[in-house]
Amino acid sequence: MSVNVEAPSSGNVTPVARRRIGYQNPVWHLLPFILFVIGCMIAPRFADEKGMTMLIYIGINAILAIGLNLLMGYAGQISLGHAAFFGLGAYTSAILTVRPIPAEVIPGFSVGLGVMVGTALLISLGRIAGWKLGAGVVLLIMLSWIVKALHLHAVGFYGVYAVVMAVYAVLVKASWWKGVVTGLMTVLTGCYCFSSLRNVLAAGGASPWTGIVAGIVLTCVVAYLIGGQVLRLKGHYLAMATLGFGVIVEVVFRQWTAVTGGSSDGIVGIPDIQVMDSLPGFVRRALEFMVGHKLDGPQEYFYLVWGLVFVALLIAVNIVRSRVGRAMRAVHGSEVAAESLGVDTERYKVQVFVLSAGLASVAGSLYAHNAGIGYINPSEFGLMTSIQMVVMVVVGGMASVWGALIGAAAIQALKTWLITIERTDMRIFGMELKGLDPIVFGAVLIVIMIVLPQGVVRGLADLAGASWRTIRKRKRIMAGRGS
Amino acid sequence: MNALIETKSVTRTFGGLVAVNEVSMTVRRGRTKALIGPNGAGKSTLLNLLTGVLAVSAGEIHVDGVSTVGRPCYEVAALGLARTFQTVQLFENMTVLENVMVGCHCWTKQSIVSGALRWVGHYLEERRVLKESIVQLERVGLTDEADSPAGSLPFGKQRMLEIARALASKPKLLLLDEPASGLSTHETEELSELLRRIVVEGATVLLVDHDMQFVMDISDEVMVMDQGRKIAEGTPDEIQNDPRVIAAYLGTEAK
Repeated sequence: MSVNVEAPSSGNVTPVARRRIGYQNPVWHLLPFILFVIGCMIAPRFADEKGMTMLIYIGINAILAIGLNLLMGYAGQISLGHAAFFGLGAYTSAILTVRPIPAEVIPGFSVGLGVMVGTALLISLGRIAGWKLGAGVVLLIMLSWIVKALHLHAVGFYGVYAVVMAVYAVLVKASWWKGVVTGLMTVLTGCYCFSSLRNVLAAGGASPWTGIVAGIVLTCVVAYLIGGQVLRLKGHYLAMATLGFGVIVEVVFRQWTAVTGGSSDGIVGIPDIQVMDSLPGFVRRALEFMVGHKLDGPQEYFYLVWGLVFVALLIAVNIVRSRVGRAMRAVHGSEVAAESLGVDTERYKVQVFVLSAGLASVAGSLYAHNAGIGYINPSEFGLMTSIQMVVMVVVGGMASVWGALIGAAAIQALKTWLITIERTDMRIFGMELKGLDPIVFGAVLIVIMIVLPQGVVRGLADLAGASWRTIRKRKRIMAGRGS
Repeated sequence: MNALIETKSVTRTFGGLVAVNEVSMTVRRGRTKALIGPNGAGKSTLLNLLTGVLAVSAGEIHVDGVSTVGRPCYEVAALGLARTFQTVQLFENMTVLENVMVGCHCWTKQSIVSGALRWVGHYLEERRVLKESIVQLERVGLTDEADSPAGSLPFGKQRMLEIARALASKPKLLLLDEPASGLSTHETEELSELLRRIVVEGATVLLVDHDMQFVMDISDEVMVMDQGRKIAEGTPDEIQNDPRVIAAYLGTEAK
């Protein structure tokens, strides 16, 4: 060790030191992106129809895996309920575009959303927790009954909420204006939601883009509320809590038939997203040049999905190498040390949880609008999907943004292969080869954890490096003997 | 105001056990203060109370005139306290350089949005963070290992990295929990050299250690604890000749 007296005491960095450190070398960060863009551009040219479908699914899975990898691989927080966020995105999109919420549900739903936003504000703005928070939420819900009973005009609405919440805020020792903001935002969200849902119902459906954005907003609010509570737990306890959340949401999808269509019907006829018409002419011509002819539905959708994968990758790569990214990786490394350096661990855990849920929601919307399919069903957003997402992250490698792509591709290939096997009516020892997913994914998880715990990409790279070194060593020994 | 940290009868109990019992102390600016005592005397607990890792059961702690009672650990850190741990707590999933960069967290501001979208503020701040981190790495002589995983360093260097990480937060007070334990004589000497230089540059150091030679060598003031209580305080010379201290360490003669 060389803690030497000659080292500069402070202030100046010697050029030698700077050159030796490769942290900011841009080539290794740009190169994968360039390859990625080229790959995406030319892929449709070589893929047949089946291949296109698969590539679209891989893209959707990749967005999921990138989001979950930020949470699991980098921040070290497990979530076994991520399919819930995937489903929230998908259902919000589907409901808004084809199956608007029935009129009798709209008021209740609006109040619910308003209260959720209000609660999120109480937590984030007022830093209120425990029984005080509980009282606040009950108050917000009760206010909606009172306001309804009083038959107030809109102004009265806002006034009652603002005044009552201001009094509440003072009582729980927060600033009064935080109460006012909470009250006003609750009413604003509720009213906006109410009127826009009624418009959507009258018009018979909203545009897919509205669906995607609404899905992100709803999912992020839910994730914030859930994450703030469950992320205080660690390890197994966190896994159990998120698992429970996932199960609850799946049951809601199944049972709330008036809105979601339940498990027998699902939602059918979800429209495609038309992107090409809204793109500038030269982009369209460039894409058509790549494909070689006019784009068909799946090809158009492919570019949309992979464009969003690109955005997700960019966000993930950027965050990992930023102040907040380092803080959240520090949380993974040692929570107590991170706290001792001034990192508000809870805050960053919640932030990455919300981001990850938001990405899952985008993937869900894309899944719902998938070209030529347009059908969703609660069973696609259950525990098995959550586990598949975890397997994707594990296969691709924890804490590896680009690995998530590989993981997504591998799992999708495996799924497609399983479906083909199912169709062949093969039997082994009289056992039908149907519904094999849980068995195969479980086996993959076990094998990867034992053999390549760092994931396929880094694991194989390490293996290759190790065997290369062994070969060279052997060669040197042989050469030594020869001489 | 000369006192950087002032505690008034700080007490911490774990169930029935009183780990720290009504300890009042001050740490003066620009000094090196050492905290010694036999095993289980409550030294590490006191350090944890000062940094907010544990909450006090009773008493008051003021850092730079600000009361820290009831504040979470990260807020106390933002007041200018940085620490190292008895068992080295590195972020083993990150490189050596990144470890130190995390140290810069509390004097930087960029949010997750600015990081994700790479706003100008991100780049400006990142440059300052990188510069400060490299300076700290050079100070402890770890520039050659900057890009290697933190977990791959030998133990002595891990200790140094932990100190560099703490220094990157530009602390007013550096708290070291047994920094010399497990180090070789040579490494301990280098550590003393480093600490002396830090103090000359204006930092204040509070350390807990068992290595008497190291402690007496570098500290201006020594405080002795035994069974949760403060039993003596003074210059190293005074402490070495204090009968209460000798009794605590060696036991009293049977009468």
